[in-house]
Amino acid sequence: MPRGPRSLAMQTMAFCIFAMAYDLCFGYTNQCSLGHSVFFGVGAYGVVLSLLHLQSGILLGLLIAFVAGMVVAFLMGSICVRLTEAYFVIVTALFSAIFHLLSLDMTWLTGGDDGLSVTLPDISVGGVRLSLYDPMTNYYFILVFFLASYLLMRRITEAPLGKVFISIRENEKRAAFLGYDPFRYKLAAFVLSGAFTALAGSIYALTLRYATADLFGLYWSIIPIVWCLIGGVGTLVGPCIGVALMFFFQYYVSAWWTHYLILFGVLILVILRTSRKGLLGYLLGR
Amino acid sequence: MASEVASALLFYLVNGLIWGLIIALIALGLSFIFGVMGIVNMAHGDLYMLGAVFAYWIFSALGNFWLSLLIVPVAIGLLAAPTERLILRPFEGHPAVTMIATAGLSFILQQLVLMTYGGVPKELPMPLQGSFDFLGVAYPLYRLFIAALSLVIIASVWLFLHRTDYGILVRASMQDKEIASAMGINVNTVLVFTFVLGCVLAAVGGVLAAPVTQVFYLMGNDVILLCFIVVIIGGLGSLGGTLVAALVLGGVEGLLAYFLSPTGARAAVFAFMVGVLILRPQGLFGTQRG
Amino acid sequence: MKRVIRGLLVVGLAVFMVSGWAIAKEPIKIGMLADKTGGLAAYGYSHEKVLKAAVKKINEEGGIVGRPVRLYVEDTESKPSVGALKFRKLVETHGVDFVIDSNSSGIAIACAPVAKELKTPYFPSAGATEISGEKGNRYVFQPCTNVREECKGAASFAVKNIAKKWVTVVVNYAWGWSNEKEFKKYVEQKGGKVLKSIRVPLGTSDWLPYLRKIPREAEAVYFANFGSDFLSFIRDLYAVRPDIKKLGAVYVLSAQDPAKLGPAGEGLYCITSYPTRLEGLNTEYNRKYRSLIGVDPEGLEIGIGKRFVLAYDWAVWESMFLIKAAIERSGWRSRKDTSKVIEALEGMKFKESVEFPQGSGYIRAEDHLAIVDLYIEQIVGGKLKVAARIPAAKGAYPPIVDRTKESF
Repeated sequence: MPRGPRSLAMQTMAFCIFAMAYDLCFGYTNQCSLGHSVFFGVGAYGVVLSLLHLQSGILLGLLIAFVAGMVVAFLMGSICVRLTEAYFVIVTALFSAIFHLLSLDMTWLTGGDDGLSVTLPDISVGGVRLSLYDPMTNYYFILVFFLASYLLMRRITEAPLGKVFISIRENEKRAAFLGYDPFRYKLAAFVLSGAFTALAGSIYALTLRYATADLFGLYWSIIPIVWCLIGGVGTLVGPCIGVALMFFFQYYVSAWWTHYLILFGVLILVILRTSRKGLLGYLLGR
Repeated sequence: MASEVASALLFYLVNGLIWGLIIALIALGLSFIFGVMGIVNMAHGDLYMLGAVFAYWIFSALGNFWLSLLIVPVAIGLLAAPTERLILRPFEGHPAVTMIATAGLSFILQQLVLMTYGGVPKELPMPLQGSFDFLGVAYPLYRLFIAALSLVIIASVWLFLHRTDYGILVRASMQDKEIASAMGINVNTVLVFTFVLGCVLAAVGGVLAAPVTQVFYLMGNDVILLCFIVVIIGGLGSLGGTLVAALVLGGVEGLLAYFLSPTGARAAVFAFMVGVLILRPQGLFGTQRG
Repeated sequence: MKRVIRGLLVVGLAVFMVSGWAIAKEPIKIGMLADKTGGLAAYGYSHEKVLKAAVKKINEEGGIVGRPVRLYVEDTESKPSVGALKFRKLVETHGVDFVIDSNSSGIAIACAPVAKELKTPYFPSAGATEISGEKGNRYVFQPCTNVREECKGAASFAVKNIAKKWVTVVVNYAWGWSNEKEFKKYVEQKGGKVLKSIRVPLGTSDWLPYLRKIPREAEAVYFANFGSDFLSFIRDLYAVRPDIKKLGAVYVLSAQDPAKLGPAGEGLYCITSYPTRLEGLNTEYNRKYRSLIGVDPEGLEIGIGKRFVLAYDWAVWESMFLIKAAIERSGWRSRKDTSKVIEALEGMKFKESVEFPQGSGYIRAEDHLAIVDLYIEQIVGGKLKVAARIPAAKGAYPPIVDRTKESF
C-alpha cells in the first residue's frame, strides 16, 4: 500500500472512531455536546502519560485512557445531561474550556501547547513482538481498533439499548411514559460516547507519538459536529464519510489552494441545504 | 498596605467592568440572533473581526476613525441581510444545523480576510488621545469612551425594543413567531431586521475594540465562547440578563486576575458559571427554559 | 556480425549515458512546512517567499551537484497535529529528502520524532531551546538561534548598558516561560536581579492589570510577546510606567513599524538575530540577499510595501544552503546517504557570504544548534538602529546533549 495514502488512512480511521462515538451522543440521543474535546484530550494524554510515567506498555495505556474517558464522561455527564438543550451545549463547552485552560497552564504535566512526545515501546502479544514503528503493523493495529469500535457501536445501536436511545431522541416524553428513565439512558449514551472518544484520542496520540494541550481546544469539540452533519447524523457510517471528506480537503485541496476552507465552507452550506441527513442521506435517498 | 490592596482591587474591578461592557455589546447581538432566531451563530466572533477590519481599511483610506461608526453598520447590514434570507433561513429552528452552517460561514469569512487583509496583525491608532490619573495609572480616555458608548448603544436598543412601535413588533416576534404572524406582523422582515441588528452590534463592538486589541483575522475566536456563555448565563430571551452576565464576568475575572494566574482566573470564572447554571438552569434572568 | 555488435555497443553506451544523465539530473526534493494560515500566517508567507528565492538562486546557478532542486510546500495551519500530518505527506507522498521550517516550536517538537522515524533531516526555524535539547534528535537541526542562546548573549549587555533591577513580562506559554527562565538565570549570573516575573495570557487585549504589578524599584522590563499582544503591551506599559527601560525578546518587533509606536516605543531595545534595516548590517552579501528576497533597506516588501517579517527568514535561507554544502561535501546521492550528510553538518563552519548573509558561524556538532552572532537593536527617533553586535561566543552555552553519540 503506498505510504502517503496509508498514513492518511491511519489518521482518518482514528478520527472515524471519534466521529462515530460522537454520533452516539449527538445522532442517537440528540445531545449536542460541545465538550467532547475533553474526552479526546483525556484519551491522548491518558496513553502518553501512562507510557511516560507508568511505563505501562501500549495496550495497558489504551485501556487506562479508555477507562479515564469513561470516568470523566460519567462525572461530566452527571452534571450536564440533566440540563436542557442550549444549557447542555454551553455547560459542556465550559468544561471543555476549563480543561483547555488548565492543560495550557499545567505544563509540568501536559507540556502545554508545545506538548509531549513519546517513544513507543514494542507490544508483546502472545510471544510476538510488534512495533508500531513498522508502518504496516501500525496500519493494521489501527484498523483492528477501528473495526472493533465500529462493530461494538453498531451492536449497541441495534441492541435494545440503542432502540431506547432512538426512542428518547424521537420523543423523550413518550419514552418516559413507557417507563424508561431518559436521564439514565442519555447518561449511558454520553458515557459510552466519551469512552470511545477517549479511545480515538489515544489512538491518535499513538499515531502522532505526541499529545498537546491543543487537543482540548474548542476546535476539537466543533469538528465532530461538522463530520456528523455533513456525513449523515445518526447512522455511524455517515460521520465517517464526513471525516473522509474533510481530510480530503485538508490533505489534498490545501496543497492546491491554501484557502481551501472557503471551498469546504461552501460545501458545508450546500450539503446542509440539499439534505438535512447529510451526504449519506442524500446518497441513500436517491 | 490595606489601601494599596484596595486600590489595586478597585482598579482591576473597574478595568474588568469596562471590558465587560464591550463583551455585553457583542453578546447582545448574539442574544438577538441566538435567542430570537435560534441561530447558534458560530460566525459571531468573525462579525466582530469584520468590524475591526473594515475600521482599519476605512481609516487607511480616509484617515478618519469615526466614519467607521457610520459606514460599518451599513456595510455589515448589506452583507448580513442576504445571508440570512438566502443562506440561513432554511436552517432556522434547528440549532445544531445552524451551528455548523455558521461554522462554514466562519471558515469562509476568515479565509477571505486572510486573503485580502493578510496574516499580519495591524494597529489602529487610538482616535482619542489623552488619559487621566486613575489610581496611579495613566488610564486611557478612549477606554472610558468605548465603555460609555457601549452603554449608550445598549440603552438605545432597549429603548427601541420597549418604546417604539416597531420595537414592540420585534419583541412580539421574539415571544412567539406564529402568533405574531397571525396578528399580521410581517415576520420575515422582522427576522431579517433582527439578524442584521445582531450582526451590526457585533461589528460595532469590533470597531470600538480595534484600537485597543489590534486587528487580526483570527481575533473573533477570542470572543466567541465568551459571548455564548454570557448569553446563556444571562438567560435566553433576557437582554438585561446578557448585560448583567457580561459585567459579572468582566468584573469577577478582573478581580481574580489579581490573585490567580491569568488562565487560572479564567478557568475559575468558568467553573463558577458551571455552578450558576447547575443551580439555576434557566440562567440569571432567563424567561425560557432552554 | 561485428557491425551489429558495434551497433549494439554504441546503443548500449548511449542508453547508459542517457540514463546516467537522467539519474544525475534527478531533482533533489526539499519539503517545506510553511505556517501559511492560522496564528503564524505572517511568518509562513515570508518564509515561503524566502525559501523559494533560495531555491531559484540555486537552480539558476546549476543546482546542487548538477541536480535541480524541487520544492514542495505544505501548510501547517499553525497547528502541531496538522504539521505532523503534512510532514509525513511531504516525505511519504512527495518523497522529499529534507524538510525545512515551521516557525512554531510546538510543530517542531511534534515533528521531531517523525523526522527520526522517517529518517529525514529536519530544519525548523523555531526558537525553543528544547529543539536542540531534550525534544530533538540526531535528524533535527536548529539553524536559528534559540531562546537560551539569545538570553545568554544579551545578558551582559542588559546588565551593563540597561539596568540592574529587572522585571520580566511574558506571554503565558512555553516560549514566554522559556524566555522568563533563561533571562533570569543569565542576568543574575551577570550581577543583575529579576524582581518579579509576570505572565500574561496570549491574546490579552488589556495589559494594564498585569503591568500594574510591576514593582516600583524595577528599572527595566524584559518582555516576550509579539503581534497584537506586543502592541497592547507597549501602549499599556507606557500608561503605567513611562520611565521604565525596555528590552524585548527576539520576535517582539516582527512586522511592526517602530515609528507608529510613538513615545511609547522610543528607546526600546530588542534582541534580534538579524537587523531589520540594511544599515544595521551593511555588507554586500546582505544587500544581495535582501534584493533576492525582495526586501528594501527599511524592511518593507519591494513592490508591495508591506512590512516583511524578517526575524528568522535568514535561518530558512541558510538552511537551504547548509543542505547544499552538506550534499556537496559528503557526496550524498540519495536517502541511503543521509547519515553522511548529517555527519557533514555536525560541526560545519560557514563563512559570511550571500549564502550566509547573517554572518559567519557553525553548526555545533553535539546539539545541532547554529552558533552565530546576535544583535541588540534600539528604537531611536522612530527608527531601528543596531546598538550592539554580540559575538557568537557570548551566546554559546555548554551543550546539554551529545547527538554525535546517538545512533541513526
